[in-house]
Amino acid sequence: MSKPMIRIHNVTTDEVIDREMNDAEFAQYQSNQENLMARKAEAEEKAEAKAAAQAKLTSLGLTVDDLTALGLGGN
Amino acid sequence: MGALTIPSGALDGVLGGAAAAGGMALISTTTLAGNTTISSIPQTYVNLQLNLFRVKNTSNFDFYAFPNGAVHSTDEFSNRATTGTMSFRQDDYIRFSGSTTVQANNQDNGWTFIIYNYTSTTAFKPFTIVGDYYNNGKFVVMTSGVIRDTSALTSLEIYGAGSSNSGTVQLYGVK
Repeated sequence: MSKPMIRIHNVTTDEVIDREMNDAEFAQYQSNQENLMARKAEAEEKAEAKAAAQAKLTSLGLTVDDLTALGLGGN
Repeated sequence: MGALTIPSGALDGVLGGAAAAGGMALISTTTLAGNTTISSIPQTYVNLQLNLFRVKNTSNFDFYAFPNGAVHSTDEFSNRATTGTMSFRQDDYIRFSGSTTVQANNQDNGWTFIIYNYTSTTAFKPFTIVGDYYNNGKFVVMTSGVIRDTSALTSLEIYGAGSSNSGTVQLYGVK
């Protein structure tokens, strides 16, 4: 299977190289993708948990401002 | 009447040569083609400014910047909005797009990305991003943060959907 193409622009020499990723670059590419996906999933989980907590508050007739007034919560 | 004498280097920043103190010089103009690395960045400036324009994916995807080629931990705080109210977001990597991806096949996307003190080998690198991108409506992006890496920044990868990325990146050095 061919690896993704990349472009490298050496701005000191102005040389531009288009080529397939080598093994090390492909490994870094996969690592970057996994890293991004994991961080994105974590952020989405946090956002969902926050929305769920706010829905619970609302069902109790409370708001985030009420918690802040009690010195709880924050960013 | 005497001849006008201009000190050597006084117009360098204006004419695109070496920047005088407080000035800026165009280092390079790069056409994106897939994930593109701007390498061998000169270590002779104080700050870097990148202008990215007409940047496009052919699938819905975010655009990122990877300092020295990797996802570095960052503290990033962003405000992003379509119209009116801005919303807050915290990321931990450098992302040009916001709560939605950049819409495929649209090139109404552009950002200015400034990295401060990029040559330091002891300090984290603060950065700011301002710009605008499109996904069924315009999204304004205003971001500030810090790259939690003490290595000098010698290369920067512009990372998108893959081989389909296109657009232009101007790299300026600021004295």
